[in-house]
This record gives sequence, C-alpha cells and structure tokens, in this order.
Amino acid sequence: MIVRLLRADLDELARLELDPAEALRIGAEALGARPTRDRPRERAGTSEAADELRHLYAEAAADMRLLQFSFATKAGDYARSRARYDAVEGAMADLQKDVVPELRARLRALRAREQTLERRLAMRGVDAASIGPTIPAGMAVDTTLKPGEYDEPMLALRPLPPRRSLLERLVRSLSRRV
Amino acid sequence: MSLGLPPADVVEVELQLAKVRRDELAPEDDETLLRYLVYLGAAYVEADRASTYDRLHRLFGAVGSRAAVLRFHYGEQARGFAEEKRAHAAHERMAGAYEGLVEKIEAEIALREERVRKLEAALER
Repeated sequence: MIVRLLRADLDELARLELDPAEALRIGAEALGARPTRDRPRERAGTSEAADELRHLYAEAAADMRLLQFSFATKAGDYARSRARYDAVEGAMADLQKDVVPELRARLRALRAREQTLERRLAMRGVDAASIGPTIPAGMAVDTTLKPGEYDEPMLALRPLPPRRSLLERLVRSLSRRV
Repeated sequence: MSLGLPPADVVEVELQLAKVRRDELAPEDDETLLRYLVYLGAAYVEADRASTYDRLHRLFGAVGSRAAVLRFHYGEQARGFAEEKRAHAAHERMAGAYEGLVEKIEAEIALREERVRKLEAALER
C-alpha cells in the first residue's frame, strides 16, 4: 500500500537509523500490547513508571506527528484561501470606497447640469422634455449621499503620547508614594 | 507566529500492513494507520534511547506542549478556512451586485452626457 509521509519524516527516521518498514514493524508490535491510558498512573521514578512513560511518550509523539502531517499538508491551502479572501475583500472595499462614490458624484454633477440647462431653455420658451435621450421612469440610479460620501473629516483618535522610559516610570511611581 | 511546521514536501512509500491487533488509540483508516505505526515505531526507538525516567518525562512534556500548540493553530486555521469557503459564495453575490451597479451608473452617465450635449446645442441655437 502506498503511504504518504513528509520528507522531513524520512529525515527524522534516518536520524534514528530507521527506514519506514522497520519503524512500521516496531510500531505494529506495540499495537494491542501497550497500555491505552493517556496519563501516567505508576509511581514516579520507578521502573514501572519509566516503562509506562515509554508507551505514553510513543503514543503522544505518534499522535502529534499525525497532526503535524495533516497540518503541514493543508497549510498551503489554508494560506492560499486566506490570501484570496483578503484580496477579494480588499477589491470589494476599494469598489465600495472609491469607484462607486466617484461614479455617483459624476452622476449628481451631470443631473445638476441638466437641470440648469433645462431652466435656461424654459426661460427661452423651449420645452426641454422633448430633447432626449431620457432615462426610463424608475430606472434612474439613487444618487443621494451615502454614509462615507460626505466631505466631513474622518474622526481620528489623537496619537498616543511617547512611552515613558523605565526610569521615568520608576520616578513617577516613587513620587506618587511620597 | 512561526509554528515550525516542516515543509509540505510529501514522499510516497510502499508499505505492507500485516495483521495487527488494533487497539482503541489506533486510527481506523488504513493509510493513516500505516503512517501512525511508522511514527509510533520511531517514537519507541526515541523513547528507548532516552533511557532515564527524567529524560522520558521531559520528552513526554515537550511532545504534549507541541501537540497542544499545533492542535490550537490547526483548529483556528481550519475554522478560518471553513468560514472563507462560506464567505466565498457571499463574496461572489456581492461582487456581482456591485458590478451590476457600476454598469448601471455608467450607462446612465453615458445617456445623461449625451442629453447634456443636446441641451447645450439647443441653447446655442
């Protein structure tokens, strides 16, 4: 059967002078013959405790390495997913913050210009309604200002004062006590 | 934060699984079981080399800490991954809505620019 291992696992086995088949044989021998508790029960320092700890350590290390294998082989997908999520969020925020408000402002300016021209034409007795093209009823985009499109300055917190040195903090603390 | 994860460089190894007495700690899936047994065998060799109780105790503590850190971060990232997958569908809907809005505004701008030109021309007559 084909088993996938990390290349780092093979390096670790080589450090222990083992190959995967030999490690498998040792592991399989222990299976079914080892204690399956997860905490030491024997009295610390005794040979029984050392033997118990040998099994506990082997199980904990194998479990940790399985976890490490899963994490290492999925970490790339997780990082790509995070980068993609951040990129899409960023692009949508830019669209919401910059592109759409600019287009709406351009539309507001055009509508104002149209109204001025219509008034001037009306003063000359020309019916501006007969001059097209026109936007079908109910199809005009709402150009009222939305939150964030006003010109008011953004609220900002004042910058923090510079951090006091250890000596200054000590002097201040002592002067409070005096 | 660096987790000290090894590179995701995977190698395939051909191994045979003889009859084993599975216990309650052994994984059920065959490939995972084989991988686990390789790790278990290596860990027994490491434990045998540690020899003293104190050294084994330190190794046991260290591996427990490492597992706890990995489990926490793995859980966090897996949860983030699931949320990002769910958000992806919402993102696509929002992106489609914005795209539609931008197209609609651009179409209205083009119409109104044309009308403004015609109104200006009418005024000049």
